[in-house]
Amino acid sequence: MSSTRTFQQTQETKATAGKMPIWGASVSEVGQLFESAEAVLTKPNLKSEWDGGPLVSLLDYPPEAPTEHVRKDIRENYSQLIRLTSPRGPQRLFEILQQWEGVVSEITEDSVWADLVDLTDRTRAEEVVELPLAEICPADRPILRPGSVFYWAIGREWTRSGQMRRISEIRIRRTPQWSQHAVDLLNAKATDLLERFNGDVENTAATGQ
Amino acid sequence: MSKTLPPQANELELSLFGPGIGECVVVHLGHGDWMVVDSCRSFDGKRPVALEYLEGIGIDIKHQVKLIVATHWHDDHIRGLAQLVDHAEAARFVCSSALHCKEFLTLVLADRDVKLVAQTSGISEFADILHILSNRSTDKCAAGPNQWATEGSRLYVDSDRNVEVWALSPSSQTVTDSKAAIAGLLPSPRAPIRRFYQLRPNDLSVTIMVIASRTSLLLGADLERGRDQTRGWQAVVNSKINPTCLSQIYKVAHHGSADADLGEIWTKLVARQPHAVLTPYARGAKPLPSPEDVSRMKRRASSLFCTAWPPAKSPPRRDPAVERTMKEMGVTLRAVRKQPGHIRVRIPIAEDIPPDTSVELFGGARAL
Repeated sequence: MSSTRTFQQTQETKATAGKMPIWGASVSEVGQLFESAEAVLTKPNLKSEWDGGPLVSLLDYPPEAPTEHVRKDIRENYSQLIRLTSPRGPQRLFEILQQWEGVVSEITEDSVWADLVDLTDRTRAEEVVELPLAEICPADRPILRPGSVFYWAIGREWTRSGQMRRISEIRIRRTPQWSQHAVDLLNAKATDLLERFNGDVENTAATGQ
Repeated sequence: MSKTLPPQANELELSLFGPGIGECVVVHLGHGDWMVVDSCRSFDGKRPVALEYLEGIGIDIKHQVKLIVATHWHDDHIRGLAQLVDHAEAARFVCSSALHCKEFLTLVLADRDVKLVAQTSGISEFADILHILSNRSTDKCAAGPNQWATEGSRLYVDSDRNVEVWALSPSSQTVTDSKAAIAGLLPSPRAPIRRFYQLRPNDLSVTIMVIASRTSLLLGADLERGRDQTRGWQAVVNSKINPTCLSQIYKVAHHGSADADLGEIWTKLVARQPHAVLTPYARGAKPLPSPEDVSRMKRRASSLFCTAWPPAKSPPRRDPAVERTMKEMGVTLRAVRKQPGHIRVRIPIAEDIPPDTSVELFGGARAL
């Protein structure tokens, strides 16, 4: 589970959006993933076969539209049909501007204190954060303990419709459980190690020697 | 005085290092013998500060470091200690007797297998130390620490020069308690694998007294007051087996917190108007020392020095979109001071010379 918070896009992010790289692609290239018909047009071999008439995709019709109705409509109104597969690419693009790894140190009534390591710039000093408890997904709160590990990312998200939003996402790391076998193995190893220390734990604890 | 000038043979030195989170004490015991208590890392995070400092003043770490003490396993006291143990081949390694139990070793082994986060935990550092000691030992039945320290145990002696190092804690009762306390942290079947966090209250710390002729140092580690006379500082001040001596220099316990302070420390263990030195702790809701802690300590000591002050500062500027998001979330963020400050105190050991203390401050260390 994760807790995601979106923020209204601001003038500043709008102004810079066209320049921001996302996984090596410009925003206009990202847009092509979603605007399928335009993407087809940019391919030279298809462009040469196209007579300049309007383009349409079956995806322009609502899913509930009867197939026969759609076919008739297309036949009558469009000079050429280019069949497109579903838009490819991810459902959501997230440009990470800042990312931390955190370990919870203290939980109070309404906040969580944690030690952060900056994963964006590892040369930076350790940081201490107080996060409002409301920023943690309610489903994650029961598993939150001192020692819990989480990842916190702040960035920009592009939706399929091309909208951009600022996002803060906190994911509590869910870890596997200790198995009976692993616990038994640890106990056996600890017993062996203690014997190597040439100590008798019972006597030592009792006498403090 | 130059930072790289080593002490005289007959000078006792206490060098306290600490960034916003972390503590290391380096002590010159006289005539070229050194002791290191706990560890923190240098600015670049790569080397223990003790190693860097001792190399800088021309000390042969392999042979001249005689004693290394891990007072407890919290990560702010142990980062880089394994690297130091590895270099200081002649040093005896000492840790709290309260850790001499199967429960703690289980924790050590479990943590070694759990690599959850970038930052190492205190327990995994301890695992590395035990691994080094085990590899170094030729005796299969004596592969652990050289000594498990407890109340009234002597850790070092140079009888020719009248220099001794004593452990004043943990008390016997704490050693007995610790098994159950540590057992509470142990992994159990079907419990999620989680980073082991710190045990409170911290009664199992090793507090140390260095006695060199007429001069004495008290190193308070992170020992807390204790809930009765058999635990914590209450057990130390009421002990019948600890040495009785009044120290001129006090490394204040647990970063100056109120729950590690006891009036009797200042009357039974410390001389009137001592020099007090401490490291801060920038973690959590209440960084230490608080302004009240500073006022309280200043009333009791002739001078008070802190290795890094203030222990935290404003976080670095980030992308405006990040800054705005954090502001809208109502997040409070502070950057822990990364540069370890250094307080250096030197006192002549000789019997016939009245102690003349020199205190030097380097890096971010400040008089409070």
